[in-house]
Amino acid sequence: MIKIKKNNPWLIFIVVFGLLIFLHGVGVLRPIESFLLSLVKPSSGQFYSWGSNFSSRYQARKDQVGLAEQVDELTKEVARLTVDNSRLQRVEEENKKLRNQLNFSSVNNFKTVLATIIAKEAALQAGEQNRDVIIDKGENDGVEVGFGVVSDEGIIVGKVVETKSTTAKVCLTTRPDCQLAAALQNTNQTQGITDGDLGLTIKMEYIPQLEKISTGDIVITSGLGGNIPRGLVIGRVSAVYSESNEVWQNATLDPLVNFNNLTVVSVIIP
Amino acid sequence: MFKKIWQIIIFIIFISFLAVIQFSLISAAPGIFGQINLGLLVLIFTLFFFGFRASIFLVLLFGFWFDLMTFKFFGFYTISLFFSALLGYWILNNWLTNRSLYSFLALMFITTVFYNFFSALLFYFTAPERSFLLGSGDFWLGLGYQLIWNLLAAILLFNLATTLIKKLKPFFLEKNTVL
Repeated sequence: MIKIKKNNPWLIFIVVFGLLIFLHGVGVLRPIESFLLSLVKPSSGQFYSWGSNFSSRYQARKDQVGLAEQVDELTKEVARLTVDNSRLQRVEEENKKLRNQLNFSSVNNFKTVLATIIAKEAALQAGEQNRDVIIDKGENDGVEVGFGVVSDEGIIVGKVVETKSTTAKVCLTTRPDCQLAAALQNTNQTQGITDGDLGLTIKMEYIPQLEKISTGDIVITSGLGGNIPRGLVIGRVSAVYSESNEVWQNATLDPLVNFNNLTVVSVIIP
Repeated sequence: MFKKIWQIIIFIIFISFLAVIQFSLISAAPGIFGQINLGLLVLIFTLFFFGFRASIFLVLLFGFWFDLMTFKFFGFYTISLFFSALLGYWILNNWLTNRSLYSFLALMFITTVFYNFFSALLFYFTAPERSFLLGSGDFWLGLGYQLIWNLLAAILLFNLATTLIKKLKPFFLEKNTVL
């Protein structure tokens, strides 16, 4: 007969882990999990903020930036003006269209949920790039998969890809496979799809060859195929790749946000 | 009895604190600093100095917190840590002594490599996107950084432990000679 010791570590592990898996699967643990998460969320936010601060300083030092702060301020200023400009252009266009219909709709009047970033999550810890961020708002706050997430300047930084009752995972626009329906702010309103590139920049694909794109063009969300409204700035075109024998042309976009500095974001509830 | 309860409470608070630090602070840290793996480090330390039973409690607690806070399937971290502890225990039981710095370093090296390989494979077979992380340069770079951190921390922790724990103090076998 097999003797089982009372304090056998194997037995302890199998029983406790089995119970946890079972109770989690059934959903009995959900209130306890929510309680525990709400308990650590404030400190997580604070720790993340410290980590993010350290990351920004480290990056600034790495770039030998006495000028970094200045550049950062100017980037913010440019981002703000770009958003303003984009909004005004869009308002003007829409104004023209809607004037005839006398059906004015206020632009950028979104309902948003303010969220704090509490952590970054990579597929694996080993490997720096492609990190998603975890925010402290979830299903209980009305956050759903596919909702857009914007920075405090109003620039779209990503979209919600997974939710739990009190937290949600957001993919950043620079992460590969984080795709957004996009449009260029040119005369033709050229449409395409943006996708992250190596966790550093954004590429815009599926742009028809006949469309004219130039560096400096602003790319915004097109509002197609999802819960993300039209007109949110994604980035600025920094390079265009066009081959005459290809059906599509591509462009590389510079994100207008420093993702290392992100600590507070807003989720847009459509 | 009362002392034991206090010890358990302090253990739970300490491990929970470590889990939150790893989850929020280290995940946001840049470059090499983002590769510190506190859970694995403390796990190997516990296994080496306090035995398999204590390390199982650590696996359950740290794994639970991480499974709760992250978006991988529930059990991902507990399973990865458990198998790493299991391998560490087997190696320690069959091949290594628990009184030498070199043993501690070897154990740290093997379990760190195993943990990263195991979790990469587990991720590959369970994640819907199925990205094969072992083929990515970032994975190998991250593993290298993690090894550097863990081995440095192992040297530090071992020397700290030798000053605090009696059983690790060096001693000499003296032969009484009659003149």
